Amino acid sequence: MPRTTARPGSRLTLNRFYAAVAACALSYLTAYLVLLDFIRWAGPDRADAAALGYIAATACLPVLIVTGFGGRAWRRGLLAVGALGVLAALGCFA
Amino acid sequence: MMRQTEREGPRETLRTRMGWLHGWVGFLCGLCLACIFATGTLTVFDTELTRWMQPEINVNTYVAPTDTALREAARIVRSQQAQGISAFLNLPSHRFPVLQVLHYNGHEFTGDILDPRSGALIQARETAGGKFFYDFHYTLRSADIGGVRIVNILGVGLLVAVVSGIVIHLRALLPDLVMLRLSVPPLRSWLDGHLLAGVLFLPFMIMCAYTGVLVHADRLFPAQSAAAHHHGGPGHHGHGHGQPPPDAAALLPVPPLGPLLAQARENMQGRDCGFILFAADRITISASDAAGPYMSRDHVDFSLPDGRLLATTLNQGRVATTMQLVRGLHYARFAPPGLRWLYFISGMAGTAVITTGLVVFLMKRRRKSGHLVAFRLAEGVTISVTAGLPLSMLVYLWANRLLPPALPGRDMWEIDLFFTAWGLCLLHGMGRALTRHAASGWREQLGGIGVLGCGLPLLDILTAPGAWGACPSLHAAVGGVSLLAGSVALYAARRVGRVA
Repeated sequence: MPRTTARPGSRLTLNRFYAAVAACALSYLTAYLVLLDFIRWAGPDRADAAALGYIAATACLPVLIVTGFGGRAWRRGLLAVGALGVLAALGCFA
Repeated sequence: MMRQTEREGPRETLRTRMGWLHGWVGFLCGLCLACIFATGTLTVFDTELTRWMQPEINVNTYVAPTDTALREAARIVRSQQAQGISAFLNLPSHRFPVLQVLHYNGHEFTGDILDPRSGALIQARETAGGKFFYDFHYTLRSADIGGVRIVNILGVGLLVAVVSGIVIHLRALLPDLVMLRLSVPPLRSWLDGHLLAGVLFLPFMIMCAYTGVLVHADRLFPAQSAAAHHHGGPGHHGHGHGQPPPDAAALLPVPPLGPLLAQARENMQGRDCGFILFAADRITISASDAAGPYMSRDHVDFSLPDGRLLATTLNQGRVATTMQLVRGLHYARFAPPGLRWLYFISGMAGTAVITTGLVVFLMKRRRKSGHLVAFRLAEGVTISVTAGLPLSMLVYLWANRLLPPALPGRDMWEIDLFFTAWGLCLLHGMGRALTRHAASGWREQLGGIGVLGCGLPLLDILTAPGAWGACPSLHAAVGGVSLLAGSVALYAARRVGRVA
């Protein structure tokens, strides 16, 4: 199993910062698409659908951010969140 | 290969990455979250604080409002509406047993207070009371311009910090519960305190953060069409301050409210009525938030001027009920006194988790970065958040007692004094930290809390002796909490002095 090693100080911090920003942006987009999925697929009652969507999106967002940032090789985390985002987008725009 | 690994530094693991995320998100968001949590904790007793801050109110036990009082209240509502004020009527409750003709002033609901027996105006001093903390808690005093959104983003930050914290300590969650070492180096004991409180009150913190974000989730995910359906109902929190006042010429007379309240209560399955909204041609009687854990906003509409029943709206359904429970759990307006104290203690512990986290973050970096200006500025801000905020809260309470009761605009004076004191604490903390006297900064501000906290009960007895006699439990509770806060602060100031 390949081991990721830390880079010297500032570069490591910068990489982590970029990873955190990317994880936040991607996670927000994914959570938002999950909300839109609920509104689209949850049936005729839009108020209930929106409420359910908010419940799910709010619960997803912090978990997605941590997952996106926390992969040992961080691109794996981002890829996982990105894949979820693509699935959510398919559900939304299909 | 081995040589290259050594040159590149320690191996990066999931735990180190989570540690970095937890530390930085926790610190940057924590500076604001500590204020949000502390003010939210006080908001649990916002009504009681308002009562404490208006000692002129001499109605201490709940009595149902008489027809005379309701007629007078309706007259005042209509006269204010004729002047363009969106007034509504708040009914007496066990927590605040007076009639209130309220309107939204951009920050809080404020207005006239009436005796529920006679309908006579009670000349209470003008104050934002505990509602100031409520407003600060969820808008950061921004008059709804972006503040709610910022608080929501910070709430997500708290959830991220909590989840990353769980990942870091997953293996040691149970051992952390019994680990508090006060005689080890300061960093270790602060960390133990942070972990102990964090693990014990983890469910409460997650519940508060999640429900808090969810209550205003439409600000975080603005899906306009969905949000319009999602929120529904009249204005913000259903109090109708977002509605324009009805046209004065179209205001129809209001029939006796007593029978309508009885019918509304019956139609809402026996739940107490909370407030009455007055439109030009109808009135809406809503269920009280204290009626149960579900903040339902169920209401009954009557036409004017004849008082004919128009409709009964009961917001039911599984999803709607879930959202009502989410709101109810966060606002805790249904909670009896015991549960309210549990919320208060848990909120205090949550605030302590955040503030100890701030201190641990700084302690860990002091050796490496203590010489940097940015570090000292961060330490100054931390002092003003951790010690300066409670100090300013006490200044707010002292101002309530020391400002003349008849001073025009005295509610704004109190709030201005709060922010002035906090601003001075910030300057003081930064000044001390920048001149490498951070320990003195901590000691002096904690000493200030000690003096003001321990002195508050005495001030209360001196300035409102009658109120002590009329409502001793309320005044003893406020005095006791401030005395406890003052004593803890004095003890902490002594400890900081010893370490320094």
